[in-house]
Amino acid sequence: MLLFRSEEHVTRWCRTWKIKRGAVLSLSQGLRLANVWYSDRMSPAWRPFSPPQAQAALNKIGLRSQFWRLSP
Amino acid sequence: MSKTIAYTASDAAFRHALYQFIVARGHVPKLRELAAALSHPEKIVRAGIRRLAQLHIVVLQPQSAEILRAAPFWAVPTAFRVRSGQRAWWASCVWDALAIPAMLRRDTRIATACPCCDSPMELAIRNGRLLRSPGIIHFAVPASRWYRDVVFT
Repeated sequence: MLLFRSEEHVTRWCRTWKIKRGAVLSLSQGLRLANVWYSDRMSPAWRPFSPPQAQAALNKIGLRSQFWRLSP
Repeated sequence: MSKTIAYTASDAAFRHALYQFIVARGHVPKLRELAAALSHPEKIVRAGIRRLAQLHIVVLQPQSAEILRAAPFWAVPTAFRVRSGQRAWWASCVWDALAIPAMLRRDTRIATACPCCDSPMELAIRNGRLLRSPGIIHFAVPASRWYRDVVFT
């Protein structure tokens, strides 16, 4: 998960390194994802997500396509 | 196939102590250093870390079995340097970098560079909001493969 200056830079980088283009998020979506995944990590009561909880966290911020499915 | 184990109260206490160390000291500790800080024998700390690795809470260096990643913190220098006050940490990707202000709830600056053109990029998070938001995040690996090779992902 890398940060690029623009979509055009993503396209150019994928072409250069022969990497299939994946999914792009805005930075504000990325911050929301970081919040749903990590905001309670300093709590002594934190527990690892179960697979359904992890999928629900992705769904919560609208990441629902096949690309964001944790199970194949 | 690795055996699935249950996350116990003892794992939780040990994990919390590890994260408190990382946040307070600004780096992921060597196991000897963690043992000294917790006043535990190194053997006990190694066993505790092995359990956290089995639970996918930390990733270990393959040869030394030292901690490589206690998400979102990395033990080794990476392309993402995250600063808050007098402390700074390494994160391996922009998601992990953004996770540090999310979990610490502190104002933070993230320094990185565009992988395409190498030009420096800096993000600032204040009161939980992005002050500057240049750029776009690319996920190359689909979610179903994130944990197949977490270093590449």
